[in-house]
Amino acid sequence: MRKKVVIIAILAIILITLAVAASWSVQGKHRYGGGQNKIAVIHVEGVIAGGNGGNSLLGESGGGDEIIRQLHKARDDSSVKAVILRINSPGGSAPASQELGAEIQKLRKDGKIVVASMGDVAASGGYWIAAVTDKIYASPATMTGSIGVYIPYANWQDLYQKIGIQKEKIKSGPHKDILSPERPMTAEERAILQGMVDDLYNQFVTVVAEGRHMDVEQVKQLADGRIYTGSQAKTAGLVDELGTMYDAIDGAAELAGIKGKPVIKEYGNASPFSMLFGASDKVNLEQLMVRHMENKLPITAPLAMPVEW
Amino acid sequence: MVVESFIETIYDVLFKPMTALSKLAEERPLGQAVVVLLISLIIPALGAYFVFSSAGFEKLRNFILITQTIGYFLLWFLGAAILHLIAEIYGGKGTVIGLLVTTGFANLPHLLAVPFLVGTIFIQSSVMNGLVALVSLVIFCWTLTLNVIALKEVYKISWAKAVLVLITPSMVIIALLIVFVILSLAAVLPERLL
Repeated sequence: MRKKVVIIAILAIILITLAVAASWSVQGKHRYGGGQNKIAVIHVEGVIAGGNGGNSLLGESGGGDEIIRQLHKARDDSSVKAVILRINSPGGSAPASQELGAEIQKLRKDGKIVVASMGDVAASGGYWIAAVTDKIYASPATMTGSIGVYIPYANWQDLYQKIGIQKEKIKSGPHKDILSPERPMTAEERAILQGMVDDLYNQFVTVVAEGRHMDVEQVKQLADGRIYTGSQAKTAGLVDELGTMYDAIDGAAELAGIKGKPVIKEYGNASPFSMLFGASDKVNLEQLMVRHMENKLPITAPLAMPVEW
Repeated sequence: MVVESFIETIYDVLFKPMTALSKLAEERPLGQAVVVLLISLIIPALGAYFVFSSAGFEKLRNFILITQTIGYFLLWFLGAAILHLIAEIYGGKGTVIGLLVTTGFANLPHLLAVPFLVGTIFIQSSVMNGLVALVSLVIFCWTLTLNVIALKEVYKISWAKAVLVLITPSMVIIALLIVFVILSLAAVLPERLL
């Protein structure tokens, strides 16, 4: 009899706790009090470039396309009410930054709040994508700004002559080998490239002016290519708040009307398999430079990197 | 009457395991063992499912539910076959049905973790997490001990041999992993480093 009582009591306790857990789960209640209100965190790390980034045995990772896929996932998830873009990037290619910016704007049009949280550095292309978000958070020591565009060019003609290399090209038009490192740039080519840089710069300035609700002329005064600290950027109006990623999460929750502690859904986390076999999530800078040398990436702007990288 | 006897068996497995598992090894009630095993797998798996649901891990909860039930059930069959083979190699004499029955009942302590596991949904503190970790460790050791007793009673072997039978598969897996790591390093490292 005693054995029966003990076992029935144990089973009753187990079944009651399970039933309570089931009813809690059916009601959609959440351990962190957020219910279905999630905040997605998407990381923008390293140089912003188009494409898939690194290839690995078990898939591809990194690159602008991967971030866009993550933005689409966040858009399609009805439980995601806000997105934090954790930016730690010195910039990258103008088209990739522009593409990301456009996708962020679509996400906002779909009713999601997008908040940028700047890490160590969010300059140039990194600032481009931050500028199109609802709110920007930066640490006082974050390096940001670098609003501007450049096209790098090196003339290696003298070096080639010294080592006895003579490269020749048969070209279809006079400007087909523009930016060629084997010869000096002509005045006409310089004018063409300057026109391109000016056009890209104006696009960049317009994005910042619209995103930050500033006058174009006011942005142009700030956009001479210089970098700012987070606190300088806040004074200049390029950043909304000084704070950490957790402040940005709280800010996003407030903007999205999430009460209580929000549920965080992190996108793009490396799986143990990809950590073992995969390429880095960050775009390889050397790879990017090699692509530039091969003339496959004629415009590497806005690209703001310290000389000693 | 049958139910009363079944409940008594459950009590004895938990609190008088030597006598209970010895009796089960002789009587071999496979049907009862399957019922006990299913209950011992499904209820904790459901507990884990609700815990992961509350934490927002939708994908993980489905994975846990499948591996905890179907995966563990298959492992019970395969494990019994492997342990039976090892026990016979070590000189034990017994039946695989006896082993299936006793190891099926040996999973009963898993049920006792459910209230603690589910408690983490409602009480979020490091003390609670520590308590769950401690309870899990106790239940793991308890289940392991029941499995050793099961092997001892089914194959009529010594304590030491029963422990050896139980740890042999893990030792083989560890040895194979070491060999795999060494071979992988040999393939990856440049010749001059070797």
